[in-house]
Amino acid sequence: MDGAFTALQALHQRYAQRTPVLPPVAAEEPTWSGAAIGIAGVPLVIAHGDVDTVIALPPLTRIPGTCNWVLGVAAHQGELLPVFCGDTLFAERLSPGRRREYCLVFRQPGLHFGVTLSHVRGNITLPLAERSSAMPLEGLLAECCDGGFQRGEEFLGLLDGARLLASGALADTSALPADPVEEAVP
Amino acid sequence: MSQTVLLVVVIVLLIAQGLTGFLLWQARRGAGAAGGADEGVLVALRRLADGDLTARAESAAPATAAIAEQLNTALSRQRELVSELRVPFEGLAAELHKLGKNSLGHSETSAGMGRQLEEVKSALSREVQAAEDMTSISKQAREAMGRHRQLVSRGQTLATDMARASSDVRESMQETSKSAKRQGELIQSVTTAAEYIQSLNTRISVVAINTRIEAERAGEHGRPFLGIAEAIGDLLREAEEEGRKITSEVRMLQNLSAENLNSLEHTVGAVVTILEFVERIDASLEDINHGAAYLLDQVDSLGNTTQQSADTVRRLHGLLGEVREQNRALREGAEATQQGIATLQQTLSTLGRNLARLRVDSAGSALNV
Repeated sequence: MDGAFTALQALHQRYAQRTPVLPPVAAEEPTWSGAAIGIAGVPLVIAHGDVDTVIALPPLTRIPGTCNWVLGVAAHQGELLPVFCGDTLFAERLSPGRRREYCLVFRQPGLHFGVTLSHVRGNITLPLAERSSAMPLEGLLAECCDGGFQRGEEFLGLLDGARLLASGALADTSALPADPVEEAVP
Repeated sequence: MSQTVLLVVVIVLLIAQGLTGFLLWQARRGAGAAGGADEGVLVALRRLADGDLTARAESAAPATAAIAEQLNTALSRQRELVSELRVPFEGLAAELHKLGKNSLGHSETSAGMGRQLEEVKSALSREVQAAEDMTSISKQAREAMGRHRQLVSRGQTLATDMARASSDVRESMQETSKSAKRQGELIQSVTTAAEYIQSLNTRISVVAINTRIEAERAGEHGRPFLGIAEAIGDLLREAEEEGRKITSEVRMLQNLSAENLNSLEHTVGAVVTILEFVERIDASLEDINHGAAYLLDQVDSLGNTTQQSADTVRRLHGLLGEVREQNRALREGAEATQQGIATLQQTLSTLGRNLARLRVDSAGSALNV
């Protein structure tokens, strides 16, 4: 009986020695996923949850009396979609010649609009270790970004829809003065 | 002529003197034979023998009267002859004196001419040497010009070959330029295709983003869309990577093609410039060749002229030698003439002294030489 246990023990030890050790399970690095886009040539990322959709720039209808960054309204999924020029709104410059082809559609409570994109990179997954609270961007983009990711020498600003709404940049789209130009009829 | 006359007169005088002596000898002989000669005739004959032509024979004897008369006639004629002989004798002496002076002047002139001829001879010798040197230089210049023309001809041949080669290079470059342009068009087409692929990638990216958005919006039910979105994302990344490579390489090709085309155009321009230069070089060589031919003609003409000049100088040299010989003969003739004149003067002097002993009048001698 002892011999059998001894034999089994030896067999166990032998297999224990020959069997390769299981590879250690690498701890999954916490990551962040979103969409990589560009506005006015500035590389940005945005969470999928903040985006309604990305569409090709639809035909637009100009709206008189609006700011120059309001390109017009378009028909989108049975609704009217205001489309803003990302170059003019965020970089305060006109679109650099080439017509923008895509726009990012935001759908926030009480606000539904599109912003033209300078480029679309696609989905991106970034390690949270690269998350940075520094803000090398300037202007409205710095105000609308919640930090970003530092990838080598490239900084990807994290565009936040809530900050964009909170900035008040989209509060007034009228280019006319607040006071009426015409005098009231007596 | 005057010398001949003078000699004839002297000979006549000598004959007359001999005749007188002969008559005197016969008279003495007749007187001796007669036993009693006429004293007057004898005295006259004695005086005549002493050279006194003024003597006069007188005889009363019939035998000697005729002799005396003839003797007186002969003496009279001799006196006249001697008197007439004076003027030509003096003229002859004066002419001889002038002739001697002229002969001396001729001799001196001939000696001076001989010296001048020697100088001319040495000058002509130098001229001959200079002409020969010039001929030699002309010959060397002709040979040099011939070599120069050969070099120019070779340069023209090289220029022609170079122009032909440049023309071939230009045509080849133009063909290559056309190929490069066609290549550029193809690259442009590929670039357009690559840009279209890039656009497709962007559109796929948009689809992937929207799929992910819809999957997250669908919650638990949208998990399959997450896998699809991930797969699309992976494919997209690979496509984007390859697309970027293609785009980058196509752009490099485009840049290289543009540089090659630019280089080809520069090369064609350089070849055209080279062709222009070659044409200018050819024209310059042609001008040089014409100039060399003209120079060669001039050198030939100069050589011929120099040769003719040398021949002329040689002939002058030969003629000068003859002139020198003639001048020497003239000088020798003048010296001989001087000697003859001196001898003649001496003879005339002797003759004058002899004639001076003849008295033609009571005042003195017949000739005063």
